[in-house]
Amino acid sequence: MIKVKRSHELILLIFFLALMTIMSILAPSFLTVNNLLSVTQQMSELGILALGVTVIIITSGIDLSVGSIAGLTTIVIATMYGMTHNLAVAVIAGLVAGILCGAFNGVLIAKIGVPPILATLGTMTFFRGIALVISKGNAISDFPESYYFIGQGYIFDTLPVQTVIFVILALITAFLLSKTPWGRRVYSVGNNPVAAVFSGVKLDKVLLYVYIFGGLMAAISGWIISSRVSTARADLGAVYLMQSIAATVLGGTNIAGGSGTIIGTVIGVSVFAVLGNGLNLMGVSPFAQNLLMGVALILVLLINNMSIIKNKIVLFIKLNFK
Amino acid sequence: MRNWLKKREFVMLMMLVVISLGISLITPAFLTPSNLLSIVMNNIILAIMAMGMTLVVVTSGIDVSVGSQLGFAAIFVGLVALLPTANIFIVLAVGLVCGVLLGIFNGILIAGAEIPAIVVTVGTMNVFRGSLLLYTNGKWVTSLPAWYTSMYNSSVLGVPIPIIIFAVVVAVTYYLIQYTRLGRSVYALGGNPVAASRVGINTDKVLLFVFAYMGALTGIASILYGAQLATIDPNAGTSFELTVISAVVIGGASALGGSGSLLGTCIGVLILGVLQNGMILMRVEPYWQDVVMGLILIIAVSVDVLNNRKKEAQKKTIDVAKAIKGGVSA
Amino acid sequence: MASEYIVNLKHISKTFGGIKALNDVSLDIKRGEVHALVGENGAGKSTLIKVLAGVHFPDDGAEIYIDGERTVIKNPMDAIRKGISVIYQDISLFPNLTIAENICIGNDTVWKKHLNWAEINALAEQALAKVGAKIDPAMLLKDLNLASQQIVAIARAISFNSSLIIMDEPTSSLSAGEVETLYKIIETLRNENIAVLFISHKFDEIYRVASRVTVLRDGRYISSHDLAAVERQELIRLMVGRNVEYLTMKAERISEQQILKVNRLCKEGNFYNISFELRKGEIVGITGLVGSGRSEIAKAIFGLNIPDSGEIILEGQPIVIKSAADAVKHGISYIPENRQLEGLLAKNSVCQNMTLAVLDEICKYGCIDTKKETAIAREYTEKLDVRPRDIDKPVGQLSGGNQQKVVLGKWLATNPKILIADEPTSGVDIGAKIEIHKTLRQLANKGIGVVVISSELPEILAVSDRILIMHRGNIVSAMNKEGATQEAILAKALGA
Repeated sequence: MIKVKRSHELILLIFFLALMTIMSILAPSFLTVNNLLSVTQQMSELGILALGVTVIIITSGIDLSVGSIAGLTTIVIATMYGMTHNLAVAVIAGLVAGILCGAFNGVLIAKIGVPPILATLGTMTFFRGIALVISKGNAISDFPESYYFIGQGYIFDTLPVQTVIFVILALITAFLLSKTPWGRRVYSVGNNPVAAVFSGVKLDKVLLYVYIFGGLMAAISGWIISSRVSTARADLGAVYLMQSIAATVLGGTNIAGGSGTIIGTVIGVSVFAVLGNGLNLMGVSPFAQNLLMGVALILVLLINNMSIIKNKIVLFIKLNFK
Repeated sequence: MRNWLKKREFVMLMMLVVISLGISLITPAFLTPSNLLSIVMNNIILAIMAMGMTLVVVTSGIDVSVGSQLGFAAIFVGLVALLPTANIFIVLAVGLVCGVLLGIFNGILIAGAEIPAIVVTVGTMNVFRGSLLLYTNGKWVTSLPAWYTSMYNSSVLGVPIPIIIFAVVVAVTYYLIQYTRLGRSVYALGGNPVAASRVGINTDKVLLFVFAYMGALTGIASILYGAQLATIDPNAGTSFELTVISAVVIGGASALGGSGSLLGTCIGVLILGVLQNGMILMRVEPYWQDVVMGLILIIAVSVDVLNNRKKEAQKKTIDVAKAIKGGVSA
Repeated sequence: MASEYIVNLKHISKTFGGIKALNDVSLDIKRGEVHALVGENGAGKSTLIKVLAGVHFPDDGAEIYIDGERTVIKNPMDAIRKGISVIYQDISLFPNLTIAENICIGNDTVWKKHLNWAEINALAEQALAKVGAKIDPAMLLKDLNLASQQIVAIARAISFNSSLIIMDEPTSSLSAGEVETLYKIIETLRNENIAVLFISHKFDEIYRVASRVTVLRDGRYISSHDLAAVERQELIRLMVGRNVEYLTMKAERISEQQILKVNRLCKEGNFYNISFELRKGEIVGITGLVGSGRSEIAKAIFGLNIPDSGEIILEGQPIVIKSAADAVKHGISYIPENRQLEGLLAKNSVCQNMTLAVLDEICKYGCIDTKKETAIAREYTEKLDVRPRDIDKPVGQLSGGNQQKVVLGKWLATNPKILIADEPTSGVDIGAKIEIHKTLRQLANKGIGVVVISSELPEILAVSDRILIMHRGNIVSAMNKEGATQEAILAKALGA
């Protein structure tokens, strides 16, 4: 199993390096410090969302509501700011909203036992609905100048703030997963929930925190998005939903649970970001990005499952032509 | 089988009736023949695709690419309809073939390469939509010929053509799952995949069929889509997959596979359709719709889970009790 | 009749990922005989029947003869068409389909492209009648209990007009009365000249129903015998490759101090009025038939099966246990019956499995102290002699005995006061069995209260100081080690 995991990350890394090489040949402005920094900036929002999704998928769950949570967060921040004119309060309220959404998912999944895909299919619509009701379907752009720092600012005039946040959060998540009891329990639940419970793991508590974590990451992502585009809108996170799942799976997290790493997810997100940025520099239609993202995902998994495909063909030939 | 199905669907039917009664008490415009017909007509595309999705969910699979498939096939159908030599039969054939091919593409990856359905379809959703947008460069297909667009509102013997098409789809699907080996294999595969291959079911073939059939129905839906709207957006169907899946789930298909019925799915579609229509009639501001739909979905799945759990618990005690009594229950 | 034999297998080998599960095995089954297949877990019985059933395709060089003619079994359907049907241990039917469908699915005569329900129901009814079951074929399988599902599986096998029916541990989920029904059905089959390949590890059953036996060991063919000509003791020797004698180990010192007292524990449909006590240094054995409520009690003490009434008293203090986590906190540990399903994280390493129950204790400032973790894993792999000594190896790749040692290590790391072991040696080879017995005894000597649940009477007799016998949810008898015999225990367990 460990061998398989390593080989997946290796395939992905080779794929990624090949992609980087192709991009730097085709687009001369690609391999510059400034451009690479802007790539990291572009990947941060998706990346942060994917951190939460990775943890969730490791438990063999899924969260379709992360995009809606991000959107709701932007609305809560904007509305609270409109009411209090205190940015700190507004942002905290936004993050708390994200945590509450995650907890709501967690209760449905961990306490009631609804399959994650169905629970979050429902809450995806529900959370988006709440955001629409609060905002009456409008976009809100009433923010102070200082709000834009998170999504548009630079540290030392070079490092994009959101890149720094992404790196810090990725490190924290990696640490939580690999070094804390909670992380261990997350893997154990994904690997064999029955055995985990039989070893004294509190399944419902672990899952509850996992979905709260997913909600918090979605909220932080939403905060950065709204700061970058200077707007709050209910549908702001929606585009990232499927991408975050795709990037996580591309990064080697098994959709059936039990395995996956943050480094893998970061590479997965990077592949998408490099694709997007490189194609953009080459002047290729933005529509091609979608296409190539899908192709990349399928291609890597096909290579990963090569042995299964080979076995099937061999058996087929054995039975029919021998 | 009959008993159990009746129970589950009976509850859903009651829910539909209660919702409908509630709405008709508030707004008299609801319970009129013309409004009821319009609810049906507005949800035919959803219903047709939900038939296919029911089979997908029965195998414990999922297909999130159907929204992209719908857009892809609709644009192709539209482009073909614009050709001077086109006629209704060519359009039908193009829609069907286009859908089937997209479905087969999914099916080969899922059955052949054994990549989980959710992963494959997240990928192909991007592939289909991306290639469509690239090809059309984001341009809409407009000024569709009248012989095509009039199809949606024409009738044969007083029955609107979309309803006839839907009836045919239901009949064929019902025949498939009730009276053919292939259809029963779909349920067998969903109920116990290991046992399925042991009794000689070619599980790869069944999966391939299910996704191809989903594609075929999406293809048929795409023909109606262009006819209904008269212009086709290359973004058509974006996130429609979630509505389709919601209808199937509200209709009682289990995400764990093995269960799901056409009647249940039809009721699920109607619940969504009635709610949407009712809220418009009651002049509920449109942004409340998602809140209500989301809640209904959450309640439906939660109640299902709690009910099942209760049933399981009861069965367990009975089982053990019987064993303790020491008698053969057969 | 072309041949005396219905099936001859020769030179059957099967390799999985470099490991030979079967190595040049042969098997000959005569027409109409009941043939027993025995061997320890991992001897290759399941793999062999899966080859016969067309689930696994054997390695090159295999020869399969059906009715004296050389043939190839391509897939499960092909096997059925050639007259071989299988009743799997896990029943392997479809809970969401009707009984009629479950019986007829895959049967060429009715399972055609277009289905005729009248035909299907008729065939099903006919098959059910043959096994003497009166069940409505239109019912869903999931509405039946396990024993009835088993009967449906038999009806299915009969409906194919097979000449060989393979039964893989068919009695494991049946109660005593139901087992009798099964024997009658097998009798009927024999009268109709249908051969049965009967896989079981219960010798009573084998001697009761079978006329010949084939022994497998470590994936190899050992020998075949007429059962009339081979003694039970000899059969065991053939299975394990040497003489087996469990070591009976006496308690060093049983103190008067009660460590656990269970007082009138009840759970409707599970067990009634269960009271017993466990003293420091003592091993209490619980035995009884499957379904007598043994495991249910263990799970109740471990917080996985909340009792309706009664109390659990730990070291003189009544405690409330609502979850496994509570039980672990109180120093209770539980080795589950089904190791794969309930005991192990197969993909995780030995180390991660061993420390799963003590994660909070090996923490330093909220994160896992790797040094402490590996120290614990090393300590218990040493102590329990887990092989190989590689704590980073995924447990899924270990042998059954070593896997069980990892589960044991996981609980020893928690410093338990009480250890409940449910079938601790199932699927474990004989050497490891004795080692596990020794370990349990050492733990008891150190003052841990040990409860061993087992249906293997020699094991219960070898390890326990006191034996509780259950029947239909009640403890019907308690015996001291001295004076207890297999016959006496069995009589009580059967309700005599």
